[in-house]
Amino acid sequence: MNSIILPARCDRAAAEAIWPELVAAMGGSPTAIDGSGVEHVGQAVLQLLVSARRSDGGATIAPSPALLDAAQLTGLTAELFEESEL
Amino acid sequence: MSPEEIQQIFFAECEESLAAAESGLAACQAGTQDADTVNAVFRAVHSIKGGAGAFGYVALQAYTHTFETLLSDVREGLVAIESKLVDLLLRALDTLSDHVEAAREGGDAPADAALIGEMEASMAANAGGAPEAGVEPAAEPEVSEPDTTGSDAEGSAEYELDLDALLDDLTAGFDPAPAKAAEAAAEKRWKVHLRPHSGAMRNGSEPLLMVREIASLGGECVHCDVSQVPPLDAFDPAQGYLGWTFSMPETASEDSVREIFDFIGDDCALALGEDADIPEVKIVAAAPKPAPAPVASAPVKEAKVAAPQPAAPVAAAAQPEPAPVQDAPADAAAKAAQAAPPAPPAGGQSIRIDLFKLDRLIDLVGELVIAQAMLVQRLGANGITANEELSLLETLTRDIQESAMSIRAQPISSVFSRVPRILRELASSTGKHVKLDVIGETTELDKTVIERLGEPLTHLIRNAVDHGIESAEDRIAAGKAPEGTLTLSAEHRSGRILISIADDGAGINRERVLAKAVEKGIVSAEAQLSAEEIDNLIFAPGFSTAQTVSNISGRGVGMDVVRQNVKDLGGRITIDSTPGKGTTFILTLPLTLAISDGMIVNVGDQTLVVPLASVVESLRPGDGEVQGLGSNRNMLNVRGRFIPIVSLRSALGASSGALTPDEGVLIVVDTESTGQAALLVDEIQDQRQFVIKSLATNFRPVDGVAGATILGDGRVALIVDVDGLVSNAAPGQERQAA
Repeated sequence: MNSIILPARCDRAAAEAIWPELVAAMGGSPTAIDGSGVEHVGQAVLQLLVSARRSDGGATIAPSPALLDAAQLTGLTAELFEESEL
Repeated sequence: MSPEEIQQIFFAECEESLAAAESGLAACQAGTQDADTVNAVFRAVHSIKGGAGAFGYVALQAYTHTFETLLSDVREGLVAIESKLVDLLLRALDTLSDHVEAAREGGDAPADAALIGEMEASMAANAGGAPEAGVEPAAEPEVSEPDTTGSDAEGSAEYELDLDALLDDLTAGFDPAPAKAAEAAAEKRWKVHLRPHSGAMRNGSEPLLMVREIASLGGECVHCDVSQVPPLDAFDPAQGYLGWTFSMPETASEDSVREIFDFIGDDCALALGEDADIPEVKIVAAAPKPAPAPVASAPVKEAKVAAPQPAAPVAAAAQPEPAPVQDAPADAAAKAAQAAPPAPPAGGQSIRIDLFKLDRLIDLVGELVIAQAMLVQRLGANGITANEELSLLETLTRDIQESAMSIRAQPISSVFSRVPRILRELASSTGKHVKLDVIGETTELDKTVIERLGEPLTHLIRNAVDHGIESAEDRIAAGKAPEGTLTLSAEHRSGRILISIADDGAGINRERVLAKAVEKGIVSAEAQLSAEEIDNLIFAPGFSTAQTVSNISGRGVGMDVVRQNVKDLGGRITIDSTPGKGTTFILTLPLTLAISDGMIVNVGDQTLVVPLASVVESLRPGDGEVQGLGSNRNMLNVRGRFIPIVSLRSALGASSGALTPDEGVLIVVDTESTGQAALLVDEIQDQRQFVIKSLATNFRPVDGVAGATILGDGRVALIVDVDGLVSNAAPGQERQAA
């Protein structure tokens, strides 16, 4: 399984940097996205994660409290995380 | 970051805002008067005002407030856009740019009272006598709203506070039970639908901050629309795909929700009410983006990815295999970098770098180029010449060099964008209205070249309008349109940049130019000059044909300074003039000042570099083509024209080398001051790029030498200052003969 670690600051610039990596890493196989170090997250990365979750192969996301908070705020908790991880 | 640095950023952003406003208003003038254009101008002025307030530039802030208020009226459709108004806005913008300049330099603010009065008159006249009061910058036409303040105001405030606290608990992932209780208490809730577009994420804006504000008003996310999120392959991080519906408590007014979005304007679509829905997604067509540079800050650990490519072919969506990535080896990436579009993507990401760091990088790249050449030479000496790694290294070195140079490159539009203002000022002082055509403003060239191009370009434009373009009456009499046209164009041509300034005026009056030159003693009355030579007389120091000296041009200090400036940049200027049709000035400039093309020549035991920019041709003289003149001077007959031969050996005082033309090779060079000459060298070794090292910085200025470079074998070679050398050499030779 490929894995990708999200940076602490997940703003739009981070989304632009992560996107090509995600495209490369996913390629049909499941990917683990480690978001446990995320301290700030913006819309760009949130929607990127949604896209990754919905893509072939799928992705599991390990959240940090900040990432969970943002997901809850935006109503994306169910979309982004497995029940068991919460 | 110190306050000074932040202030620097503010002024850099002011420049950008001014340019954006200028281009927006230019579009308005050209007839594009849609909401987007007006909004762009408004936003530009608005952001200057914001910064001015933050930094305490009172005069700037007060002025921008009036300007912004007028623009706000225009945006709201309260003031109709007509040419008179656009003209006023343009003048207001010119004064705004003076204001910014004054704030930056700490000078006096420009006199703006009259203009402010004019702007206020425009709004008052059209908005029905309600200029200042109701027109706060970001005010939207308000929907009348049942007032929620009143008897229960106290209670609601308490309630809001309570809900905030509960919501914090909720978002922090604690027990949501109390929140549910609160929800039950809030009977009548209403809905807010929002969808941030790509612009809402630009320039450090973050839609989630607004979402958080909504939540702090008691809003709860009831639906997040993820249906527009595309699969990863088709994903564009710059677009906004998410949309939300929030349920708001009755205590939160529509005004308070709208207020949150005031600042962001149209970048976030908003719909209020139960019946409304989440607005449509708006995908902004992005400009072709260069490959996302594998920046050092790339925050992701993934060893497998060598060169992140945004290619993401749609076809790969069906069979997403890692193939497209592995298909991108280094040289493909290099090609992509070479083929990168000249224009920076409109919404692209950028970072500000200290110029010093950049120049250091360029220096290092120069060293790398030299080291690579040394390696090739060393290996060559040991019999290793053609090998694959070496040519790969060479390709990479060249690519790195080009990329480093391109970091310093800027589109020439930053110079061209100042031209409309110059023309406006000229129109008011000369009464000549001139139409401007600009071609190729995205052409890129070195920042230093751009910075030093402004002054000569301004001179040329003033000259073109003042002397070139005739008055409206004369134009009509000559059967031309009353309004003159000035065409600015820029293009790359064989490693150099060509900038032309063309007017459709009367052309150079050669009789008058010649008469004036004779009168001033620049040429003798008997001189037989070609049309081209007469045209070039206007570059002579102290030359001016203007009947009256105006403050615009005519003092005769302009054109020779222009030529000197262009020459200092390693460029040349030529004139192409047709009587009655107009005059075109063509500037040929190097793309960069750090690296140049040159001819490597030998003189005795010395190796010298002759800049290719001045080389016309090289030849070995045939029988009878060299004629003696006086005691020790030789002239070369080049197709019927005689030009002086300058021996580099004597000019530079070398101890050995060719003294007579039949011992060596002649290089015909063009000089700005003394016409053509032929340089005599022993042999021509090579023609290649060289890295320019300043002698003035590292040693001291030397006559006849423009700088130095380091050769592949590590030796220093002097770069010949062709102009200086030729003008010094002629009398020098005579002295030697005496």
